[in-house]
Amino acid sequence: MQETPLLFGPESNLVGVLTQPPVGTLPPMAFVLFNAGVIPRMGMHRFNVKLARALALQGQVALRFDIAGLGDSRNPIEAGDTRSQAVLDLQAAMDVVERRLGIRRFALIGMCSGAVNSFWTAIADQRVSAVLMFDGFWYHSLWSVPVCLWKRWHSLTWHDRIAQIVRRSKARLKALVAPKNTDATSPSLYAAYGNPPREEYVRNLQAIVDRGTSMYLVFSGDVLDEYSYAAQFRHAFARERFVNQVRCDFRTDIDHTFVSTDIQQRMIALVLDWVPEVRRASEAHQ
Amino acid sequence: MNPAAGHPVQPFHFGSPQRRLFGLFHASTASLTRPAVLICNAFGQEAIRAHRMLRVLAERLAREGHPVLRFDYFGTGDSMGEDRDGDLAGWTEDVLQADRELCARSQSRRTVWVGMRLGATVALRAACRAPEGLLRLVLWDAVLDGARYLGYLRDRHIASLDYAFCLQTRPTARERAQDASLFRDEAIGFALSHALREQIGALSVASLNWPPAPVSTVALTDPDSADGRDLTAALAREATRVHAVVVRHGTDWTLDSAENSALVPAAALMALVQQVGAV
Repeated sequence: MQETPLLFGPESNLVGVLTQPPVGTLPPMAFVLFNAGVIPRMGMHRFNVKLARALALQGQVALRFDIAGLGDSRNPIEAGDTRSQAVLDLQAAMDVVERRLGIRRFALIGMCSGAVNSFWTAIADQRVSAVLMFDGFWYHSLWSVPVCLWKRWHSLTWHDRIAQIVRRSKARLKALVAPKNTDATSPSLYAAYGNPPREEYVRNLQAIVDRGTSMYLVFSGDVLDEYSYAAQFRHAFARERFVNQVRCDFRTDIDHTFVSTDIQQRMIALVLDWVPEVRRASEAHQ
Repeated sequence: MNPAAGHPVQPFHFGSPQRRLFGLFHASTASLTRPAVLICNAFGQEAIRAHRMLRVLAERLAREGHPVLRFDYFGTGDSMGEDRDGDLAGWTEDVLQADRELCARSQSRRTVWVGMRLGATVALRAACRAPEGLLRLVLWDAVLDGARYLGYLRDRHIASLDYAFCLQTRPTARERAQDASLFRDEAIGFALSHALREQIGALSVASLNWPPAPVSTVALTDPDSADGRDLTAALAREATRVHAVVVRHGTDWTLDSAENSALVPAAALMALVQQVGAV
């Protein structure tokens, strides 16, 4: 395995590390890994480093890098808004791999806010032939909330249930007598990343799939309020053409930040299992 | 240059082919040249969470005339090696290797080392080898009681497992942790080798060695922490050799979310810049 630190981007402001397989011919596409939230390019618990090296052992190329302002990458002199700057940075990452290795097809692996950035980049750039979105956008079906409540209730012991009822009753009583806070923000951590309106999501996802891009949506066992059962995506988009073209997994054995090494290995296995599909999509894209 | 854009850095590999280390060099952007600074990062999740803090520290020091090198120990960050390849003896050698690399890149013969958490402990071990040109050692919240530190990491790991999923699994990680043999070979997503665990476990205040003169040592401590109290007591015996500075910042470096804790505690940043600049 060969690793090369890189400084790239229009203002040489982006920092990354390119991982290549030890021997053999280069594959037709490269993987791009980057920040989840404010976590640097090495990823949650060094996951991106471990994944890039596992991919290299399978003969794949991967670039892990920091988008502008995060990790070690500087903001450009005139930075765009968060979304458009992230798209420009991901395009700069693809440019540098293309320039150095001649690879013209890319698979983006985005975690959390990175999943959102992957989606918008796939719309903007035809070189993206595959996208894995981990805990990205989510849309409820009619069953999402009842299933979530049912699962939560059944996961509790009777002691926990009684304690929860008492706790919530106290909180409601307190809220009744407390002054109203009109500035209250969303209670959900994940709501901050913002789903686009459903029509916009449907239109864009269909366009990405129609041009042959492999889409893989993975939801963790950490986001039950947003994604509560395996068939939620199919039910939420039952009438859309893309529903049978998009791969979607609900992995209750994987958490949102890969907090243990065995969870990291499960996630790496999931990505390696996806590689043949990515290769097919990239070859069809040529 | 637009100040908001930050300072340019140069990423590179250094060290032997069997032990390639990742480094980031921040060239001084001031007209005056001051001693070069080597920053020794913390370990595991603490290192991930402290990344922003140490980037800001490096940029601030570079603006004040200090060339700065940040680097990853073998088996950590972007350096070669896997989690389980890390050990204190190897990391001590990495600090000395990084110091030579910093001197070569900065053309400076005078250096200051800044170490954070376990990185401070490793820097302290390396400083006792008295590398030529080391003027000052700045230790921030050094890990002094290895057994307590391992216990803390295990506790945080168990809490992270129980927090990780929406639905609680039974038995919980906390319940399973009654078996003391469990949850010892990793710490919050980072594998811990047996050798590293043994080495960290052997660390104690009583076994501390301070670097010989002319190196001046400054310890930034938080008296609200057990390590801080122990260090204060130990320094009472070393008052003429080690200067203690109290810094309260209240940051939990083991959190794996961005919530509820400052990423760049201003009090600590100011104290570190001041102590480095005092050379």
